[in-house]
Amino acid sequence: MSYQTKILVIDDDQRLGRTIKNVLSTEGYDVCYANSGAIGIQKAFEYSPHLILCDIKMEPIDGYQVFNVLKESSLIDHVPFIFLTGSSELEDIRFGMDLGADDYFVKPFNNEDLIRSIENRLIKFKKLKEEGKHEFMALFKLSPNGIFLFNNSSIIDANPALLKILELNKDEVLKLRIEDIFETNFIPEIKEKIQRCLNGITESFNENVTLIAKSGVKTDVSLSISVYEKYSGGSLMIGLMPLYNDHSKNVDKDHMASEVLKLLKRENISITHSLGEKLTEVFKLQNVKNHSQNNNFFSKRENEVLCLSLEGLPMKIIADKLSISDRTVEKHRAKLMEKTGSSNIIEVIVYALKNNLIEI
Amino acid sequence: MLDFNPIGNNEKAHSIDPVYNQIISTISHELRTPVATIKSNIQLLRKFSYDIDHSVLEESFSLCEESVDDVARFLDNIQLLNSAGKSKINPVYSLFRAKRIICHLCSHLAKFNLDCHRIVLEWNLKNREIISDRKYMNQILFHTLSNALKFSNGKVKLIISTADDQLSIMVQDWGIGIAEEEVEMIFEPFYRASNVKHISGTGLGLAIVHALVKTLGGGIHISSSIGKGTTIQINIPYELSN
Repeated sequence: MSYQTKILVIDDDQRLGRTIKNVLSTEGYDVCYANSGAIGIQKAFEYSPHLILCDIKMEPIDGYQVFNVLKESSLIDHVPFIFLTGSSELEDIRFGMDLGADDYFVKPFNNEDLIRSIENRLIKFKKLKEEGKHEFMALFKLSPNGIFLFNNSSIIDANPALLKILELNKDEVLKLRIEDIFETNFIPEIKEKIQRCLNGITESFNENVTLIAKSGVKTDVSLSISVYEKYSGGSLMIGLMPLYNDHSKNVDKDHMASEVLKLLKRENISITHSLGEKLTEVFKLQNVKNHSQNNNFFSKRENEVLCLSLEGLPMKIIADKLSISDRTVEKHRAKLMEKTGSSNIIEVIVYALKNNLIEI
Repeated sequence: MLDFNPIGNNEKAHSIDPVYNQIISTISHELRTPVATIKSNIQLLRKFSYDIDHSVLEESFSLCEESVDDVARFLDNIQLLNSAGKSKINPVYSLFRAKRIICHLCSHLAKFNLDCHRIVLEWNLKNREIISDRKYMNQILFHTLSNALKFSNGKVKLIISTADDQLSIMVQDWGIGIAEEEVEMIFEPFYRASNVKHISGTGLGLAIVHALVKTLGGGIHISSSIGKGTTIQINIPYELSN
């Protein structure tokens, strides 16, 4: 297992951003680059970096705002935050430091100074991480349940319990891909769900599957897969499998959703006014709930706004119901559209349905 | 152009004059970022004696080169404005087809992430060949359109016509507009309207357009309404080959 340190670089100047990315990558860091404050905030959650480097003068969301948003979400309580600034004016620097940033650099800076500062800020963070890793390794070795780590469907590690079920030794299992250890009819389903995790739509999922050992012996297990570590190039995922207890099968609740999707397909998903109304009619009858457990993709508020929108309520009523302003509702809707790459709320609904983010 | 007075009325210049502050801040930002890019890349190349991933090596060189171009372009613009202010620039007149003034316009705009597909172009040519300064014409069009595209989302109307010894360029957008009281300031170098603070820029574009149009003996008129859009009408006299 390799634990690469992840750094998020936020700078609206693409050339400097790419330069810093190259400098830090060459030093062995895993670097994610965001070219605006808004994307930076989004990446901070998706990528969960160990350290953030952020330019101050950006438009429309500047570095101070990025810092404040992340601080509110308590994300940077433990993630070191370093400002890059184009101004050497003492006032600006002091303002940044007063906010609680860990360090600042005035452009142009020395690479070595920047690297040294990053290393220093990371020491504390790494210590915490090492402790966590230690606990994890103990659990990994001693657990009676099968545990394995994989990325991009190649198996990276498996614990003794799983090796025993599979009748393999460690070297053998490292040559395998995940489709090699499960019965083939489960593979498409699992792969699709893994993709959903990788896309950040869900954090984890459960599935009852059958393991196939080297000798062909089959073992039913209840598989739980979740994202373990995110990197800019992909994610490290963890699979856990206690032995299968005979649970009743999940009832298909998606009948209504598939009806709506069929309707949309027939209409070519062109979002006309009448289609919007049809959709709303369909949903009005239903009690809309969000899949709150496996939905970290939208925030709690965003979910509430989405669900009320699904009921076809106008903006003003939604605002009243949630005791927030129209503008805030509008902001949440904009965020929903941004997250799902949609141009209107109906497309958000379609996206949420397709990806099982809401239940009707 | 800039009235530097490092010792005398220093305090006054610093704290009172917002225009002065704006100019210094723009110059500082426009130069610091590319200089930081160049410095950082040079240090990277030196540290590993060029022994880094080939694609990173290639990118490093281009990033340096592009940053130098940025600095040069910024300095060119400042110098152009300075010279134009002192009537020290001389147009180079030549005969060319009027349609050529939009040469490279799209690729030039694309470099700044501006989408020229939003432009709706209309020609109305009485004379197909004109005598003027082609390079200046290109620049006038580029800066006018880049402003229109930057400060609006929808289509941008561009009408180019030649008639009565005048080349006329009309650029209309339905964007954020300029406040009435600021319209007359808009051609001042480094001046940026109060409603564009959230969009990056130097405040040089329209000043350059203004200077070049004047140099070519033409006139420029701007009408704008906040939240509704802006129309810029430029008329430049030209000569015919005979």
